[in-house]
Amino acid sequence: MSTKPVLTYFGVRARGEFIRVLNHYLGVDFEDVRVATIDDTLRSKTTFGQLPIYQDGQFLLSQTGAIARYIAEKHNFLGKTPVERARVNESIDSAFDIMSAFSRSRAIPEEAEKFKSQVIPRFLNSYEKLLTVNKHIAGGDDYTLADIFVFNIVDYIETLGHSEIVKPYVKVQEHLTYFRAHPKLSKYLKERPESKF
Amino acid sequence: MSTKPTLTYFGVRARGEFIRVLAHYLGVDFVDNRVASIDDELRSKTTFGQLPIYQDGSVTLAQTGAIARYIAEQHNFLGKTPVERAHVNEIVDSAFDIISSYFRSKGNAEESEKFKTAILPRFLNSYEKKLATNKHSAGGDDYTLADVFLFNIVDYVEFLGFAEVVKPFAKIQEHLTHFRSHANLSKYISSRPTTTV
Repeated sequence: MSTKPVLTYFGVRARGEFIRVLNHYLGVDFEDVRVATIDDTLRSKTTFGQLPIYQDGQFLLSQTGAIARYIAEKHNFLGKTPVERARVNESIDSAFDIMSAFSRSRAIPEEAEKFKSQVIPRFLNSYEKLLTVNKHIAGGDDYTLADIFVFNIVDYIETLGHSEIVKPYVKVQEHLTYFRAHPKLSKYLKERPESKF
Repeated sequence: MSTKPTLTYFGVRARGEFIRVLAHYLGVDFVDNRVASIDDELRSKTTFGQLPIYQDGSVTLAQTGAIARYIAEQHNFLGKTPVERAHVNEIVDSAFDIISSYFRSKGNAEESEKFKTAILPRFLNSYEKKLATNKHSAGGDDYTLADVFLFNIVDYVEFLGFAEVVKPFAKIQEHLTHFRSHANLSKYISSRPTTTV
């Protein structure tokens, strides 16, 4: 049995990609298991019947945010003060807001246009504002989990076909460039499987 | 100017209620500011153009989860070990999954049926399983933010009309009873404003 932690998620980016990018960035040696569906055996291993799940030795964890924070805590990547940690959490949650809005836009046709014209710009405006104040989005003296989450969610917005919307945001573009060129990430980002979402 | 922290949210339960219940449970003396809508002035104070926001002195925080974790950290209410903290996060995030799922399904008959018969029971089964192992849902030796979130989300789905779905879960019912009769909560719960959602 592998002693490496194992991430199990579908063969798409979506929520699992936050964990993949985080682990590559932090240099965590992990197994990136991609499944086509959840069968009953796999579902019985999950806490809430959902993916992703993360197996770290005996310990099994579900929920993307819980997994990300667990890994980040091990690497002192959650922020150094209570306020900085709260700002980290703000940005993590904002990324999930965007994911939820995207899900909703797929389920409800009227929401698709709103996602493009209102939701994405509103969050990009906020990220641009935060990054103009400090290149570390949570406002501290170093990168945190929030920076990875903001990188990944904006990268994801581009994956979904909305690069044109992201284009004008200068600080956001710098943020994307920084992480795309990062030695821990560049190889993975170039070689990861294509995915429509 | 009040030196008490101020929660600003709409005059509904939904996400803001997690903070209200948490603050009452922990004995936080706060201003429960309920607004009918977000005007431009209020929006300019928010990080992402959304509510709730929480003003604590000179710090204004957004995002329900970030606010909840910030308050919980001040009260050592996040869990005592990395594993326990991860389990707390699992449950906190699951509560948001339920809320997102409910609001996504509203207005769509097929999705609403799926929420009632498949999605909600799946989460309740998981909560029941956890509470059957340990009355503290995150598995530690005391209550945590997870327990308040689990209480509030189940209380909320009952309020939304799913009491019959919740009824058969014995451990969950014990959990609800514990918090409803808790010295710090019972008054608030019995006297909080009636809302539509």
